[in-house]
Amino acid sequence: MIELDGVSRLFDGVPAVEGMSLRIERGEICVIVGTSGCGKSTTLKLLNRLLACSSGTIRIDGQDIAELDAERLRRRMGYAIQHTGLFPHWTVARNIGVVPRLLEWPAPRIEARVRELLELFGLPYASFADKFPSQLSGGQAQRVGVARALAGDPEILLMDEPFGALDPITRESLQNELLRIQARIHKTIVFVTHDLDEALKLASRIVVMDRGRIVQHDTPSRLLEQPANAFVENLFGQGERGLKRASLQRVGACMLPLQGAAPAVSVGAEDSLRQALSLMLWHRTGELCVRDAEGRALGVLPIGAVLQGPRA
Amino acid sequence: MSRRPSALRPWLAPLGWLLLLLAAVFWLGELEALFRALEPSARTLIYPRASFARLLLNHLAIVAAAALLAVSLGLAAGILVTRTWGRDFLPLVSQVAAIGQTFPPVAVLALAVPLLGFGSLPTVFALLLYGLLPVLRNTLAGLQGLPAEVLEAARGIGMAPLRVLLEVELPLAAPVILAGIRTTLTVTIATAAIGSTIGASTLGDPVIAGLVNGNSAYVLQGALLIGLLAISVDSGFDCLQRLITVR
Repeated sequence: MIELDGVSRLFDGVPAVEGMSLRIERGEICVIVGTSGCGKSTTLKLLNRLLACSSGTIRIDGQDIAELDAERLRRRMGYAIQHTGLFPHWTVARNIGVVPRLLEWPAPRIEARVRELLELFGLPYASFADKFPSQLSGGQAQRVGVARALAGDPEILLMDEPFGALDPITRESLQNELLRIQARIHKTIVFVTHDLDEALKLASRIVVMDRGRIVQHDTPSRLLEQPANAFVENLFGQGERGLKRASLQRVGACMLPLQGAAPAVSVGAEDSLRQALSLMLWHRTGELCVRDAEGRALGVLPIGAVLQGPRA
Repeated sequence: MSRRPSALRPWLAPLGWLLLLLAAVFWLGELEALFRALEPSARTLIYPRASFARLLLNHLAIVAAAALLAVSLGLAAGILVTRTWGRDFLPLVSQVAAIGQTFPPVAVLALAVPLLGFGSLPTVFALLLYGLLPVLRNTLAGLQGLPAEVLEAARGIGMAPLRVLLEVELPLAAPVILAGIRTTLTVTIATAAIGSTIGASTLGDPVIAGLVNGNSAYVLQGALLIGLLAISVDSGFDCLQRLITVR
């Protein structure tokens, strides 16, 4: 659990973060969003003490981080950043193994860990371990960057716009991978982004920041439904709010039992209502067949059910 | 990453120049007939006061001392002023180095003699000042030109500052720093010759003697040896640089 208590940080007398109090629960993905210069990256750097707080305290599991050794603290937290920050003169394996080496793990354990992480991110050890960062594509490099952040098995993962420099398709597949991996490892993740769709997709809870202050801290659906003020409402795209909310809702939660013949066009139960709507528009149909990952028909999704949203 | 079969190939060029230099040192004396064509009226044609081997060794000793000092000082200063706690001295240090470079070595020699006397010591001093800037400038450029996100990542994952310097900063800046050392060495080799004007024994001796006595054979012999020495060292560094930048 991470607690911020009245945290401020000034640069030359100008506050970048001001009076910030926040509780991040263990195992949740907390996404910090806001416009550029709102203090979201600064907040992240306060957490691993790349920057010091000007006032206030930050506690991790009840312990004030100002009292810990900064380097030791950072080794307990994974850190993944936008341009990966991979060491260009080291191989992929050495890059990933750097924190375990700092933690003085025995060599066989480091190698096993590197192998495990590469496989976890779908990068075969045999073909990637000895490559240099310059030989990787943007998506592969970023996977290695996140793998490096996870290598020391940290309790907390700090991610500063890690997917910001990737093309939309790669970005989406990395977001899905992060969710898939998080479902297995349950880390506490603090994720900074200015991409609101990314925030809505990944977050357990979202922190909206503006000019160094927290404007709202809430679950994605409540942010859409009850924005604290015009700034949040604006940020989460007034006109597109309906679609943004639909993208948070699963088809499986809205479908009706199948009666009679299955409709011709199918949608996955795990897909979002937004995707279902898009399929309806594209195929000019008001009804979709809902199928599971194995292709079995589970139910039917008429447009009326989409409008109603998930049934309680 | 050196591949086994061709590990020696890149070194052929510097080795060739080195052999040429050694050949010149030991067999230049045999080429009297050739120099006769250049200076038909001169009494002696081969510089007589010391063997070329002796001069080469002296020259090398002076260069080695000056370059060693310049490289260690330049490297240390460059590292110090790029640390967070040394940043205040950055402007001062780069100015001092720039002044050292713009000050002509001959003038430094003239000023150093009253303080340090004649001979090798003032020569080393002048060369040190002159050779400081290239190392320092390249150390600064190399360390300051590193990608910010790499340094942020290094600190962010919990590397201690010394470790960041030794494992990340210096290896990444090495090609640029090495280029600076190379410049310093070549400049020092060439400039060491002027030490002969204040009594240091270097490969500049035949050149100065030749200029004073109007014997261009001496001048040619000195110049040839200095040139070959500079090229040998320079081409050695060329290989070294290529070796560490291969990726």
